[in-house]
Amino acid sequence: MNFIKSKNTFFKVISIFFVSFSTFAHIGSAGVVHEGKAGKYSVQVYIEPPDVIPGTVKVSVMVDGNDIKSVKMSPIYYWTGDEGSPRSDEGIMTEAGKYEGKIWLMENGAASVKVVIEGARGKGEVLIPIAALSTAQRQLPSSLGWILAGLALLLVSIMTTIIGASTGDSLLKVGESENNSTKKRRIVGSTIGASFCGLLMFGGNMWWNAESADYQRNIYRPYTATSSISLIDGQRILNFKIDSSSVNGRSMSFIIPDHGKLMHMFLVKEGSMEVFAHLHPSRKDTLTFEAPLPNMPSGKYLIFADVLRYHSLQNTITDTVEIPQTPIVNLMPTFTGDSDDTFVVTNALNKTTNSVVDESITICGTPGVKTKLQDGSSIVWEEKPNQKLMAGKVYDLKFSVLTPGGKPADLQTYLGMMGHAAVVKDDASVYIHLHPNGTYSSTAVQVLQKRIEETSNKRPNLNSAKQFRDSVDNILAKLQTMSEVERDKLLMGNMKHENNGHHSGQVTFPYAFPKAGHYRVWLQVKREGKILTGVFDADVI
Amino acid sequence: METATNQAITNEKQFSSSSKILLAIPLYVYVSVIASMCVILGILWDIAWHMSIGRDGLFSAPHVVTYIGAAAAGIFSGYQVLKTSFWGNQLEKGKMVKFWGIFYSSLGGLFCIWGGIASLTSAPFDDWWHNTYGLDVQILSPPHAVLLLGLMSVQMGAMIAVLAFLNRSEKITSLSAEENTIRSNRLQWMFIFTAAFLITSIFTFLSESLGRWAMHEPSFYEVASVAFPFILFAAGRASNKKWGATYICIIFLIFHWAVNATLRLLPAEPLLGPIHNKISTYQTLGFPLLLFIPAFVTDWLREKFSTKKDWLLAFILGGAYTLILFLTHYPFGTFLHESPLTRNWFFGSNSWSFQNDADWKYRFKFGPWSKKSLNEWLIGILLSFVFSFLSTRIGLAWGNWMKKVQR
Repeated sequence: MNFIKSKNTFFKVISIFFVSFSTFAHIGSAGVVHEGKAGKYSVQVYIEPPDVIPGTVKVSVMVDGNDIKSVKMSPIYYWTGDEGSPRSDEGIMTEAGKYEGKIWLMENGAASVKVVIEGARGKGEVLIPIAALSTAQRQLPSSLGWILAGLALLLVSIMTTIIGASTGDSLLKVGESENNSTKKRRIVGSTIGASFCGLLMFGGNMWWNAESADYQRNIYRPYTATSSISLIDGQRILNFKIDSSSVNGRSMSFIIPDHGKLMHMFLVKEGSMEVFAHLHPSRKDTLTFEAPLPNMPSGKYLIFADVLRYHSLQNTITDTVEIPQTPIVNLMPTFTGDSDDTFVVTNALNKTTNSVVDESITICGTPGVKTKLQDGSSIVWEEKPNQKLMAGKVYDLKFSVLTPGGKPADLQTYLGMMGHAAVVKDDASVYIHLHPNGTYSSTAVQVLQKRIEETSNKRPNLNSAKQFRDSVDNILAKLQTMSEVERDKLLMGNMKHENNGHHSGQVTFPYAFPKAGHYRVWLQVKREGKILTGVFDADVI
Repeated sequence: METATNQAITNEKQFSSSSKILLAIPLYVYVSVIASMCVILGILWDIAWHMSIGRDGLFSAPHVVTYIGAAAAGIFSGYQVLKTSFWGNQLEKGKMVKFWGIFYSSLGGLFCIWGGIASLTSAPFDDWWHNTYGLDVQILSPPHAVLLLGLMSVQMGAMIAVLAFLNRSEKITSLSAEENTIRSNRLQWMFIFTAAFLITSIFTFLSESLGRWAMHEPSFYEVASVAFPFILFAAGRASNKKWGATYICIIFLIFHWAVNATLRLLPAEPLLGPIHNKISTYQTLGFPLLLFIPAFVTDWLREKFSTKKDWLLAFILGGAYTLILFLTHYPFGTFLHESPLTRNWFFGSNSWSFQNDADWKYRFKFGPWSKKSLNEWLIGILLSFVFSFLSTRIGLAWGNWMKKVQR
């Protein structure tokens, strides 16, 4: 795929990156969930990618109706397209409407799972991007270690015996008994045998260590960044610089916009999680991003920054930053940042109070309880009150937005989706950005679909990083100068808008909490031109 | 070294019914020879499976063939140990080595048992390895090495089990003179076959360093000078045949080629992605080495200089081996790797794993990394001569030992 043939073609290609709006980037939440339509079938797909590559992916497909003939699944890599995909595997029905299968991923890289459903309603397909990356570092369990040590001891004993016998009584004629000379030879032989085994095990151990180090070198390492705050005209500017040592050949020049933004940055106040901001920093150079901060309280913040690379692999870059108090109360900030930037202050996690004063506090909701939003409307998480959620189980997190009069609210698209949600665990070991269609990026789907449509499997030519970067920047600058109506028109241009998850003020996010603990969910929707943030706490067991 | 074996009359009747077929060679010896072939057949098939289909399980067809080989050799030898140790008479025990105070086994049997246990050990190790470092992408990994050592031990066991009978030169009273001659001949050929299977294994395990693409690099000659002379000269000497090493190498060539050429005719489809090379039949290892040429020359020299001391003989044979290897395989490498005439079923140079890029620039030509300076060549070839000399000397000594094994 040559992105850079001419400005026109490039614009067309780039424009697809703007018309879908989600990311899959995550921390600690490896499972990928998709919910939506595959042809005329309603499906929910849950994918558990392996943490070691080469490895196998577990795919579980829930599909409506009892007219299903087959559910097939196959892996498609970005680099080799569908031409390089093996014959698909048929899922096995494990319960009514549920099909499970296993597919193999042999190489690291940007990949996807294609699910094809056939039945009375015809053929339905869905493509779900996944990251084929080795992330795990396992230790030998002690039970297996002891079994192997026992077997090794037995093998060493027998080999010592064999070499002893080879130099000793194996040379005796039939019926002859062992004498002193053969005994001596046997002892010498056994000693040589034991030493040989020792050497073999020493060499084997060195080899094992070398293989392990080799694996370590190929393990996925996220980008890292260094954040700082500078004051310009009394305003706090966040400077987010990706460490060049963490790039490892994954040039940051080849990132593409997702949701029409090059970077989505979430700031969450560490510990209490009582402040949340969703910013869209602008690119200053290949590695540096900058965002003027809104009037948010000072303190230590966790940063989660999502970027999408051209071949559909998403990355979350994390850091922490100490945000100082604003020295001057600036009623008319000089730097306004991105027009879609938002922030919200709430009560602390699992508490009814917060540490910040003089702010209009949004009180955080819990399942089943109606919570007031900033504009007087309200939102309900349609779960049973105080219901415990189970780790590893796919839930539809369903939210209903009501007007101040109590009627279902008419929601608008915000960054191209009916809603966005960010989920963070209290210890920051889990972070994910969700959308109504699932836990992955629709832009990534479009990148992969475009790749699949190509007839040749030649590797994409990415020989001009600067041209690629400049083209992306030009389009982003053009978007910034447009009015919201114009921008929406452009961004929505070719988009097959997914109505999934939105019905009468309702928005639904499929997600499986990866482990037990306390989570906070920030939900963002748009009503009457205003971005509203609802905040909920969830206990997962 | 001739001994007569007295069979009890009651045994003899039982024995005579199968004696015409087995020629008084115990079943476990035949089993170990067949096992020796099965394990390498399974390995060659498994490599082709990984190059062509990719996806396998514990009980894939080539795995089963290999397991059957290793298990049969281990179980039959283990049974022989228990039978002789607890129910055997003194005569039977007198043909075995005693170990750990109570057990009796043939030396070959012990190798087979070790091989069986090593193969068994490799299974949980390999399983953990795949979960930790990923599924099979390489022939050589520590758990695979444990398995390969086990399989080679089974092959070594087969060789030594046959050798003990060959060296004892027993005259079986229940067999006619003619049958005794056939028996002795059969043992010689069984030995030659087991040595050929072992060489096939060595070549297969080193195939990443001994491929056609390596034939224009000094490292090929260094590896081949370490890996083959010791077994060729040991087995050649122990076979008691003038052209022993030549026969072994011809059987190796035919066996390796026949297995892979047969596989190349069978349909296969990759079941793993990404697929870089679209294929519809099995892809296999390439054409085997022409070891029979240096073996033929050295067999001739071995006889001509048979009266010389082993150190001098090692110098002559080792030198001749490396020289002939170089003179034959450098041009053979050009032919195999670059000539379009080899991109066919017979030579198999177009056999290419589905995981490799079909259009790779150096698929049919030597890469720039193959170009070595004169200096590198001189050092490489000199090292090859030294390795070959040492390997040959060890082989000759090992051959002397092989000729003496009785149990």
